[in-house]
Amino acid sequence: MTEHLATAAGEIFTPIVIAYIVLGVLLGYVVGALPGMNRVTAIAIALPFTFTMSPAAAISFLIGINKGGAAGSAVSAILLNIPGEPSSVVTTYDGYPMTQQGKAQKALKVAILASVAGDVIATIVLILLAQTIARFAVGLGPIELASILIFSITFIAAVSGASFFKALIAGFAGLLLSAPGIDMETGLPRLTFGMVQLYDGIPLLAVAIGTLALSEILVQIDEGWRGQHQYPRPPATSGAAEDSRITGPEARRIVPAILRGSFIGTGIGLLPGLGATLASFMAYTWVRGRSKTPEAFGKGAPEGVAASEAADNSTVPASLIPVFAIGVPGSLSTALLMGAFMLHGLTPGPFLFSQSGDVVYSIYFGMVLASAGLLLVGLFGQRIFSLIIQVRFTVVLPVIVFLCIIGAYMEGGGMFSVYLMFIFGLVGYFMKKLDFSFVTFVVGYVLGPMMELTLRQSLIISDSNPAVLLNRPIAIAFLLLAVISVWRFVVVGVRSMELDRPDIAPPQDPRRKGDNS
Amino acid sequence: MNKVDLICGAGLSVIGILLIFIVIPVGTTAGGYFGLAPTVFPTILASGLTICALALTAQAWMRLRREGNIRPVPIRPWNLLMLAASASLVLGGIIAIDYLGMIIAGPVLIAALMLFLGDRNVIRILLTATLPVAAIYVLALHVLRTPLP
Repeated sequence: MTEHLATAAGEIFTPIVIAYIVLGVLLGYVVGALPGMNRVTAIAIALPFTFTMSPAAAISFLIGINKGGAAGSAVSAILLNIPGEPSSVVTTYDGYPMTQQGKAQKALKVAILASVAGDVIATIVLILLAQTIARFAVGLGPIELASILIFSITFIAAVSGASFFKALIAGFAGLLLSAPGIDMETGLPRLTFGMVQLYDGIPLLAVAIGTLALSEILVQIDEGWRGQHQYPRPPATSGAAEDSRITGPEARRIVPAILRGSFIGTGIGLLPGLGATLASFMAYTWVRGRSKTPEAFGKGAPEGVAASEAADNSTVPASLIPVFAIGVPGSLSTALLMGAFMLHGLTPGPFLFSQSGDVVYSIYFGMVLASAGLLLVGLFGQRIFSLIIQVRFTVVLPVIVFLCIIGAYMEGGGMFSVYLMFIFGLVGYFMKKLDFSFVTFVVGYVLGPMMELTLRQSLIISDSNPAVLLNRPIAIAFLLLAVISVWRFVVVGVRSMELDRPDIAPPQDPRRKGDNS
Repeated sequence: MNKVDLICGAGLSVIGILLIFIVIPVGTTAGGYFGLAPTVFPTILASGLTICALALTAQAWMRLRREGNIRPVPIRPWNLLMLAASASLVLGGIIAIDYLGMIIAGPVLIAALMLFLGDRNVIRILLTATLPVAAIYVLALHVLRTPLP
C-alpha cells in the first residue's frame, strides 16, 4: 500500500501531469459554461488527445473535464437562466433571480464552493468505498457478474428514458454494436462483412464522438437556425460589496445545504442510470423542505444554488465507484471513462486494484488535484467565464465539427473511423429527436464484450445447465431484481397510458429532460 | 409522437427480423467452440431488440387508437431539410479532408459551416477557420506525434 502510494505520488505530482489536470478542469469548465454544450461531448472529443499520456494522467485529465463540466454548467444557469446541462436546471431557480437582484458574483461563488465541497466529499467516499466493494466483488464468478450486468442494463433502461421500451431497444442496439469483430472463441471474423477495419470491433471513438458529439451539433444547428447566433448579455451586477461576498448568516444556511446536497448526490451517483439531474432536484426539494424560510426559495435563496450544485458535482466521483469496484458504468460520462480505461490497457472492475493498484492511487491523487484545480479555476476565472458564454455559436459549432473529425481519425482506424463517426452522428440525431436513451446505448456498447465473455464462461462452467443458477444466490437475486425492474416499468408504462391523457398535464420528471451526464 | 413511435417500432421490428434471419447467419462463420456459438450472442440481442420493438409498436398503436396522434411530432420536414443540408456539408468536408488533407480542407469546412450558420463577418470567419486547424496541426504533429489526415 505504502509502496503503491509513493509510486502514485511520483506519477501524478509532476509539472506536466498537474498541467494536464488543470487543463482538463479548465476545458470542462469552458464547455460546461457554454449553453448547449456538455461535458460528455468534451470527454468524447478529448479522449483521442490522451493517447500519448500515461494511463493515470489520461484518466485524471478526463475526470478533470468531467468535474469542470459539472461545475461550469452553473455559469450560464446563473447568468443567463439557460442551464448548461440538464443537471443545472434547478440552479436556475435561485441562481438567476440572484443575478436579477445584482448578486451574480455571490451566486457564482456559492455555486463553485458548493461544487468543490460536494466533489471533495464524494471523492472521499469513493476512496473509502471502492476498494472495499472490489474486495467483495473479487469473489464473484462469471455467473454472478453476468447477472449483475443484465440487472444494470435493465435498471438503467428502466430509469433513464421516457419510454422503457425505447431505452431497452437502445441498450440492445448498443450491445449488438459490440458483436462485430474477431470471435473470442473461434478466432474467426463475425459480422465484419469482409471489412478488415472491423476485425478489432467498431471503434469506440467513432461511436462515442458520433452519437454524443456530432449528433449534438446537428441538433444544435437544427434548433438554433432561426437567426439567434448569440445569447443576450446577463444583467449587470449591483457593485455593492455585500452583493458579491457570502455573509456570515448566509454561510450558516449554506453549509447544511451543501452537506445535504452532497449526501444525496453521492447516494444517487452510486446507483447506475439515475444521474445528476435527479440528484439536484431531490437535493433542492429536501433542502427547501428543511428550510425555516421555504418561501424564499425560487426568489434568490443562496442555499438553493448550494444544494443543487453540491448534489450535481458529488455525483461525478460517486458514479465512479461502480466502475472501479465492479466495472459497471452508470452514466454516459462514466461509460466514456470506462472506454478510456480500456484504451489505456486497464480493466475496470474488481481486479483493477490488484493488477493496477498504483494507477488507481495515481487517479485518486489526480482527482484530489482536480478538486483543488476546480476551486482555483472557478474562483479566479469567474469573470472570464462570464465572457465565454457570449461566444457566438457560429464560431463554436464548426470548430467542434472539425475536432470531431480529427478525434475520430486519431484512434487509429483512419478515415474509415471518420465515416463511421458520421454515420453514428446521424444515428444519434434521430435517437435524440425520437427520445431513445443514449445512456443505455453507450453503456450497452461498452459492456457488450464483458457480458458475452461472462455468459460464455457461465455456460462452460455450468455445462450449459441453467440449474446451476440455483446454487448461486447472488446471481438469482440480481436476476430477480432485473425481472422486477422490467415488470415494474412495464406495469407503470401500461398504467401511464390510462393517465397519459392530452388534457392532463404530465408531472415534471427531470429524467425526461435527457440527462446526458 | 404516437404515429412516429408506431413507425419506429415497426421499422425496428423489421430490422430485428432481418438481423436474426439474414444478417447474423450470413455475417458469421461457424467454428469450433466450447461455450457459445458465435451466432448465439448477437441472435439473443437481436431477438431482444425485436421483442422490444414489437412491444413499442403495440404500445404506440394502442395509444393511437385511444387518443389519436396528439403528441407533438419531433421531426418535421423543416428539420429533415436542415439535417440534410448540415449533414451534406459535414460529409462533403470529410470527403474533402480524405482527398485533400486536413490543412486545405479543414479551414474550408469550418468557413463553409460558419457561412451556412449565417455568419458574414469575414475576419471572424478567416480567424476561426485557420487558427484551430493550425493549433491541431502543431499539437498533433509536434506535441502528440500522431498522424493527421
